[in-house]
Amino acid sequence: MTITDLPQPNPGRARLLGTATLLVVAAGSAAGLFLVPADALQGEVQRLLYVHVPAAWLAMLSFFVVFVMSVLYLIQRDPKWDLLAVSAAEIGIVFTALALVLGSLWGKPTWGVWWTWDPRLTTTAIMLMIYVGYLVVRSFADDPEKRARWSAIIGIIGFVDVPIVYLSVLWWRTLHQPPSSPRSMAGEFVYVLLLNVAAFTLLYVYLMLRRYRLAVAERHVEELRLTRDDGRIT
Amino acid sequence: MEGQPTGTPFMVAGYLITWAVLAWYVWRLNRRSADARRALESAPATPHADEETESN
Repeated sequence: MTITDLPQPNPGRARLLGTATLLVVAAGSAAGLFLVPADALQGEVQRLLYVHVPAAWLAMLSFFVVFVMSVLYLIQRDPKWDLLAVSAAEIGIVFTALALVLGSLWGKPTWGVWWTWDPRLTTTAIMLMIYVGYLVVRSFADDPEKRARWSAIIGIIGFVDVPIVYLSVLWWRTLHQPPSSPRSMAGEFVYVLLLNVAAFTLLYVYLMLRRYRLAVAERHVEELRLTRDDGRIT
Repeated sequence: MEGQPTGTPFMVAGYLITWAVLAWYVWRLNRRSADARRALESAPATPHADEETESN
């Protein structure tokens, strides 16, 4: 398959999805801010849970998508898997950074520090560095096939850290609490958390559609530039 | 302990940062898409370029 054959999401549907996503994310934030009471022990700062947990979830989902797309690329050598992988990696970086910042904002009033070398925080920071490195490596390669191959390998090896991040709170003694689940939270908190997780997942679908369209367009630009440069050489 | 007063500014900052980051990322996608579209429009026409770079 050549780049000109790549499938493109429908722009009209993406716009509709964007509007729906905005409404659902706004509803989720409003519910987290105004609908549920503040936590009895932590106070108002506990409301950060409704954005921190969905951001962390999307980070892990994104890097899982990078892993799957990277495997598919190495098997099929179809550029669409590479473009989906880079789209997911970029979005994953945004949400990993967001989860770290939100965690830090929660940590200062709760733990008394902005940052500590806790296993969950440290492995998450390493995860962020791995995928920033993934994008940096891509920027070094001029040849699209070589770039896709290198980044697919990093996308597969780098994913090793993702289950470590998830399991870090179970494997080691950490300041960070174990994964939040319906069993560890009261009902009203669970519903709002699930609403926000669903809203952010919808947001993820929207961002992936937009980012993938951009990746295809940028590959067209690159292909045109390479064709033009080849013409000059010959 | 209920409703620690110090928590509110951190909570408000967290939500503001979340919305600001999401808005920035969508703005950045729009800007990069517009750049790519302009680059394709200024290039010699190809059958696929036109259909795949319709506006967002």
